[in-house]
Amino acid sequence: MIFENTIARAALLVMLLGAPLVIITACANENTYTDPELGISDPYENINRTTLDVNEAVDKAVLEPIARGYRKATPKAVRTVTSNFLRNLNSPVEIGNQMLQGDIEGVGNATARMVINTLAGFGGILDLAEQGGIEHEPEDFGQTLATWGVGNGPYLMLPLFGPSTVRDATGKMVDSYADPLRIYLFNIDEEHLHYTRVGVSVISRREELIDVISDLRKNSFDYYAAVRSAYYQHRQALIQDQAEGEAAEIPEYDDF
Amino acid sequence: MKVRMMYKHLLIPQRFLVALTVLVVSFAVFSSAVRAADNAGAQRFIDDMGREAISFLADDNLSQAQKEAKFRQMLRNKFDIDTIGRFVLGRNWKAATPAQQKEYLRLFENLIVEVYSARFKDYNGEDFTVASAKDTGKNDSVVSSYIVPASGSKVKVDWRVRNKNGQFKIIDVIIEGVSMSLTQRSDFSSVIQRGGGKVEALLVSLRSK
Repeated sequence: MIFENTIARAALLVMLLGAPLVIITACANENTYTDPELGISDPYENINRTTLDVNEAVDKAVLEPIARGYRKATPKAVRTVTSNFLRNLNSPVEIGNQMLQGDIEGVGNATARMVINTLAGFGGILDLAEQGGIEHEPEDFGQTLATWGVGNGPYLMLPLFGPSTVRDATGKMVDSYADPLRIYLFNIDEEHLHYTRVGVSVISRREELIDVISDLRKNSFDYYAAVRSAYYQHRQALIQDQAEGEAAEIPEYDDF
Repeated sequence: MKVRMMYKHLLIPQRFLVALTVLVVSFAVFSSAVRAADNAGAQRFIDDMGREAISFLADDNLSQAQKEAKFRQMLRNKFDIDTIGRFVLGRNWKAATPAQQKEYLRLFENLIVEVYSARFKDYNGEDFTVASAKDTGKNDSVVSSYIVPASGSKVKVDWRVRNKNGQFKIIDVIIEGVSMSLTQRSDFSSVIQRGGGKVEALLVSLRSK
């Protein structure tokens, strides 16, 4: 009965998800890379670096060439339409997370976006809501956990999925499991549609990141460290729903 | 009687308090007026820079080499490369010898000019709009802007601008929440850490770039 109470249910969820975080964090070895400013803790750096090497090899051999092929073969308008459509499919998950975060305005915006884009934007291929000034705000369960006070936990380089943290990886699992569209497609025995959607999403996302990733590869000495830093900063910005940049404090040096 | 005495006793501090309040409020109003001017100035500075950059990037009469030369010149004028370089080296700055510091700043300037000109070289008719500015820190403003491609999603770029005695200089560029300086700082500190904590390890990498 207690668990009909949303807050109690949320608290239980935090306890269930938080416990493994505490245990894993307690196992962290002594020589962990930490960056207090960014809140990075990376006790599994050696494993993570190996995973990144494998990911990079796979990416360069398979994913990046596919993404570049996709970019070459399609006009920009087609890619925009595809990415709008995929984003709209993710609306139920984002609305759910806005609710769990208690962000009333966020729920309203995300719902309005879904309704407008689905009905007037031809099933979501046009982002009319954005043109009308309702901006998309990426939400996921990792961010929801963060707003509930769950820390990042150790940094993880996931095979194929890339940079994450224990918290964000947990969030990703919850999101894909609880996704109403996935549940629906599984219920009507159309799993292949779900896997198609996931596959196309991966290619579309990789295409959007072509320039960012090649830039970071080219312009960093230690790509692993640069990716880790950029990941933490980007997630922090998303969690804070950052309308304006809250940049690092840069001291005034006067002793050159 | 006792009460009245207490009240009398309070009178002077009360007057003093009023005076203090007036002083504080007027100071706050005054300094916020100064601040507003700073932000407007910083916003104009970024707006002008965007306009200038687009005017020569989109100029078909200029060769690629000429564009690059103009871009480098603009970077050197508008960015406070020494401040960025020092921030990026973090606490390793103090560990470096004066000779290392000097060499580092020289190599860093070359690197940053390369890195940023590579980023802006791919200019493809994108629009640049400056949205707003707010203050942060003592003499700094964050100017928010968007780079809007012909189609596709716009990219949010924040510029941290420092007012150095009336002269504006960019000290950080933040793309979609990711600070270039912070990312570079993580990169450099990892190179140094993995090189046995020696600044020389970073200099070796910088020299080979």
